[in-house]
Amino acid sequence: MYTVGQSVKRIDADAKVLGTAQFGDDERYPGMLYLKGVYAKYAHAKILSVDTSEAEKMPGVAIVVTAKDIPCEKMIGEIFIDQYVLADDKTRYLGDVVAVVAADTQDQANEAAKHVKVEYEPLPVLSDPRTAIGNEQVINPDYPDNICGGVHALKGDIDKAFAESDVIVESHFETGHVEHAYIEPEAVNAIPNPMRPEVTITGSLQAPYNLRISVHRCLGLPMSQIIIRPSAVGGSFGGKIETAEAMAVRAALVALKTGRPAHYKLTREESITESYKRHPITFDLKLGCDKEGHIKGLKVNALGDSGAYINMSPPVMYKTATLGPGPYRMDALDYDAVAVITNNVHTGSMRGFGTPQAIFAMENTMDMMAAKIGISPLEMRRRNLLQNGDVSPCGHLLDFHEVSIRSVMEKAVKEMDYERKYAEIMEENRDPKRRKRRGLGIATSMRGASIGADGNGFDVSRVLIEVMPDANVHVNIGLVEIGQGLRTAQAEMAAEGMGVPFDRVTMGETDTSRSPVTGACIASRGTMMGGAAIKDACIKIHKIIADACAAVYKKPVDDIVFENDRVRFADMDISFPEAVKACYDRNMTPMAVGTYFVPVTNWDGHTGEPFYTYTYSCHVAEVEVDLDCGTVEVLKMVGCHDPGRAVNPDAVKGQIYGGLTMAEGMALFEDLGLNRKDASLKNRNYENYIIPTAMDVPENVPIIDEHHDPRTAFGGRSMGEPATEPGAGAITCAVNMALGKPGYLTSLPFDLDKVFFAGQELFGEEA
Amino acid sequence: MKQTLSFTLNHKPYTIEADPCDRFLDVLRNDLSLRGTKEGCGVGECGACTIVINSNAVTSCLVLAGQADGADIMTVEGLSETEIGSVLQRCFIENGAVQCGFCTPGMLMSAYALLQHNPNPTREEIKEAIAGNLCRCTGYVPIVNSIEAAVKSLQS
Repeated sequence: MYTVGQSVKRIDADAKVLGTAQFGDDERYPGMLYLKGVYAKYAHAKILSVDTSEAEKMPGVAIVVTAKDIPCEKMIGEIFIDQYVLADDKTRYLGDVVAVVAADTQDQANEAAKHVKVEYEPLPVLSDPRTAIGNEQVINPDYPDNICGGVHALKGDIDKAFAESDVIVESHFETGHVEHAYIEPEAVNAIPNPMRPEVTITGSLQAPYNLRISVHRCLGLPMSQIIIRPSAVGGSFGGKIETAEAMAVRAALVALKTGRPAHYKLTREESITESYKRHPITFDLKLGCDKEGHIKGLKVNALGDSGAYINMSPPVMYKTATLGPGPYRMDALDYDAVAVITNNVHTGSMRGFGTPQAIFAMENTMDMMAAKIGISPLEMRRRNLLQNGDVSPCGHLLDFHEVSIRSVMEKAVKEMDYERKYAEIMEENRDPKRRKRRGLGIATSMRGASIGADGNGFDVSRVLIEVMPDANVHVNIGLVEIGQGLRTAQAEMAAEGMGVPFDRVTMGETDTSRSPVTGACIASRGTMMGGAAIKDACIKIHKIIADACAAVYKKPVDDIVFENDRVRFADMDISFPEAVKACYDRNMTPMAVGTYFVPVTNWDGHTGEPFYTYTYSCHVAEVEVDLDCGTVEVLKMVGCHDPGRAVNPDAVKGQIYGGLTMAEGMALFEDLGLNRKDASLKNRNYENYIIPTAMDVPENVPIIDEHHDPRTAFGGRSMGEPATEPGAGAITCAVNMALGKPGYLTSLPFDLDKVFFAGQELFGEEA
Repeated sequence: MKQTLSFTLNHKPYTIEADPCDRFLDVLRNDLSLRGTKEGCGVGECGACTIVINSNAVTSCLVLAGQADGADIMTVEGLSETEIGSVLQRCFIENGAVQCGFCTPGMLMSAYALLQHNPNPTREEIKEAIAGNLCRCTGYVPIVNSIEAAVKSLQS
């Protein structure tokens, strides 16, 4: 009986279709206060004074808090502590919150917030990373040149590689801010304990233990008396970490100062103003190949916009530089990725974490090279893909698992019928009068699983599993369900690890007072890292139960096996519940904390083993471009991925379907409308920020190509980020093929205007 | 100013006191504690607050309480008591239409309204019916598959 590998029903599905699932904004508590933030008027300004007296006198207002009310540290951050929970001396972007009003009703809080008076002295706004570098205006004094970090990945001799190249292609690509666009705006609750200085925080929280640190840092409570219980989370994609944390600290401050529960939700406009985004990155690439198209060297300068706070920028740049080169063989790499502080909205973790942008730039450059050499994009990739025993672009010898990217890509192109379609499209596009032109695009990726060597030694997961006296296996884990189905996958791994049926396992909701501290559900690590911790806990509990059975049954237990709800000795076979009873009868406790940490890899900061293991992916897209309207219709996408072992195949397919669609939005529509004069965002709701609807998405095809990974506990790896990262590259390559010029359009999104004017330029006005 | 409003909600008669200018979404969530209906954008673009009024799917953030007077209203909370609703719920679960679940109530209500009007929709008609419901998790294909499966199930 194997539970892992089965598409069991999601354990939260019933509550979600019945409408009973509780999200942060669905919770109500007696005496609850409603909160409203007062946002910065200028993206960069000195705060001269904040006058809350008038607001405090408004009907229903219980309190107005500002930075001065925070008793301890005023800044938070997961790695770099530079984000103000409430703006103190300065505003650094338009999403900074200067004060929070708490009142009996939301309307009262909204009204009173208008009466908080702030005096500013505006400062010059830095909105372009290129001019921010070395600018006399310094946003964060710890970074006097406004550069907040980066990574320079190096392998081999790049000058020699280019000297030996027959063909060189140089290119420039740009991407913009992308919104996570979770359908649930952020909402948190903070409930004070009347018995002691303790607060319980619920809501849309992706990283509960990081939040606990932030509350501890700012409000001074012991960690044991900061209880974080994420509610059902309405989508996150990396987005409900720092913003939701700042909100939760403000709400906890109100709750502790008033003794009343605090309810704090953002409108969509507030959410888009305040929450961090996917990094805009500009790329300058130089790719050198021999005359057959074999890559000799790649040199890239990437400049990322960190926005006002550093957030995850250096680790994002790490993934841009180490994973941006793709799963391609090359003698030399020189990939320098740098992030710059500006007064724009800050940027942080978002599904892909710096790779969708880099893959977009790399794959379009690959197509430019293929055209120059005179081979098809498919052939270009076939000649360069990594295989077993190869060394990765960063210098990692890939001899520890199946380097499946060739198999993955061939399955994807077969499903697309790529070779027949490619010949057909090349032929039909020879007609210069053709106004609707199709194109095909391929993009591949190798994703480092979990955090990577920039977090060497810190990549840990923990779980608490308790086998109850009724033999129910209860799992308490802080890797949060954010919609992807992680809770169900964890339950499947616990059932298999413990050797019991799936319905014997129950999953506790994450509660930091019960689940041990763990690294967060980020970086495509939930399934892989959670699974390894679960396996460790199961092994420890098996030992406890075996020791009890040895004492009760007076039998040797060296070869004891837990399987199919049975516990088998050499000459005896009892049920799992009987074994658990034996354990409790001997006053032993079948409960254990499982711990897993990723082995430290060999990485010197520039070269070596940037990750412990990798997931291989390929997206192929077919599009049709209408030159007269500028529209791009995606006709079909195929996403083929090697998840190691698919713990729940339907959930893996769910990730692929969603990832392909998120990539389509990034490639074709999504634009926040940044105004570089005042660093404001024009498109702050869904009437202007356009994400794909059911009408935009074709009959996409997800494919799973399994090759169990010996480096993971159940053979599986996580699929959150791989599912989206190559997609924008595939679609944009297809659009540029349709336009007949690989690499022609260079900046995301490839929206109506850009495609229309490209059509006019390349093919003239309609005949 | 509050007025008396009467309507049928999930097949039960209701008489409440509410300001007719309040958003009906707030009446549902705050006055009636029916919080299965979600708010995602507040401007009628995301569809998370979709309910069915007099057999039509509408975004309740754009409906005023006064407009509910005398109406026949369905929300996600009443769905499982209807044949179409309970089949849709089952098919959503079986076909991967549920991930984070925040768009799910609105998505179900749009599908419910569609199948009331058109018991045999084409795939294209299904996509049109849910075009006003944004989902960021599922990529829509599993949702369309679910509604197709519900159509088949209801016909057999």
